[in-house]
Amino acid sequence: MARRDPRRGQGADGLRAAVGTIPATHTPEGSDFLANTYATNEFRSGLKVLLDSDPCVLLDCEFVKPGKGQAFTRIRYRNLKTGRVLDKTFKSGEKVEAADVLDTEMEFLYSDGGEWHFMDPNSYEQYAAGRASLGGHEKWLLQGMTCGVTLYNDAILLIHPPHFVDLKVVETEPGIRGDTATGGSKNATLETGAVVRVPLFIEVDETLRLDTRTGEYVSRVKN
Amino acid sequence: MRSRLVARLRAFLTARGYQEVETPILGPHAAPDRHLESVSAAGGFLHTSPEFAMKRLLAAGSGPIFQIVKAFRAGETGRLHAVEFTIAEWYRLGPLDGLLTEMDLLLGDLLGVPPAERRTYRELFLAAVGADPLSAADDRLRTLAESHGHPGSPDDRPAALDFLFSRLVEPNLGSRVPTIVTRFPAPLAALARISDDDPRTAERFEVFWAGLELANGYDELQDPPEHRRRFAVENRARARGGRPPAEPDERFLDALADAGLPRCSGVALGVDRLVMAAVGASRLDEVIAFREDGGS
Repeated sequence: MARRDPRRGQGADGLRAAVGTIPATHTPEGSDFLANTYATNEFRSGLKVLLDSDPCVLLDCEFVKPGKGQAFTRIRYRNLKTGRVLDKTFKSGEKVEAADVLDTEMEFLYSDGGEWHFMDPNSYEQYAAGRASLGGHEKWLLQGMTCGVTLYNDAILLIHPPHFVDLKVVETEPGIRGDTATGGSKNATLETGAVVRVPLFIEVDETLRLDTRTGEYVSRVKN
Repeated sequence: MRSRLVARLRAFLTARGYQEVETPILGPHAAPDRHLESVSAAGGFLHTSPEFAMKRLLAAGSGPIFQIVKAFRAGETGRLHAVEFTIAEWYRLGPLDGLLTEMDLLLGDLLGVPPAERRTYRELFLAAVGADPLSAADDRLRTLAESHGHPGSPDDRPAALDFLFSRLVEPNLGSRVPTIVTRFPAPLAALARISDDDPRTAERFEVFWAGLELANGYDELQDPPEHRRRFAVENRARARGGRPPAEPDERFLDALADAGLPRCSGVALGVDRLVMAAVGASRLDEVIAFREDGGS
């Protein structure tokens, strides 16, 4: 597979690169198109760059120039591997290497226990993700589900399940009739193996909507 | 709001005997400051401030003058910076104190703020950084700058001072009342005269209010050879930073040498930031009608 241009999907430059046209105007001052670097004057939130040898996303950038002093660019960024948010200051004009990071969507196929396999619905190409890329979200994955995928150097870095998923209950204690208003709850095992707290009236074979960010029950879904 | 503020500023200065002047925006010389890049245009450069032309007028005997004009600084694009911005610059005869008193009145008049506090650079720096900006060794300042996140090592003493001041002192200035920071360290003198009573400080000041650096002014350096020396220092710093040298403006230096600059004090005020302060904006974009430098 052809190596992805890391600028793909990152604004006008990326768009031009993606469609293979030669930019009509020269690239922005200080940029080095071939080496895939970004100068501080090209910093924008959302940009994916290599910092401390890890792929990172810029969250916030600020041009700082005190009095008659030197110009700096202060950034806040998230390390995509560790999830940590950090601050860093650059001298204006410094360059950083672009990270070959691409956010896309893929379909979950199956898990063999050690790896989780996904397919790019456009190319039908398959990708395997290790447990670290799932970040505990493997319990929401159902065959055929479309997930957000962050690729780094054309390998899966992170899997983002949909914020809400609908899953069937395979096991729970019998429901208590009439008790639909009080706040009691019980465990329910879902078809993916996830165990969640649900209201007492939930029955086996019902489909539930879950919030994958909080891991909480949202509502029943009418079959 | 911008229109009202500028009208009041003009009225304030005119009522105090300043004459409004116009000087060329396009000229043959780039700014000599180590950290300013001029915008090239039509075979010359757009001014980064009207400073040199206005000082030529002062040397020619203009008396107190002011100008409200667009200025241009290449590469300065951000929340509080725009390549094209509006500067108000004025000069009065005599030492700095009269200008500071007037500046305080002006802020009260335009922004309705309480009287400014005056703090020396040294006392603010000592309190926030814990080192003496006038006497601490270069190494000490360098280490401090590095420990507070300076990328790599600061190039020199001015760079370390600027970084530490902007990082640790500025964020706390001008929150309750405007702060006028006085007596900058001599290495940051720019074109201010060295203090009569202390060779380690210069008669330069800056005004801070509402998280903004609003103005920068000097008790103006008069001595022509000292001007040449400082321009040479700036050019050496530019060379170290890989920037093109800026030829000194010989017409300006001639005016200083021939007629001589009268003892005067001058200040440049960022008009866009003044408007920001008046309306409580947090970004220049909020007060500039059409932003054409791609800034945000």
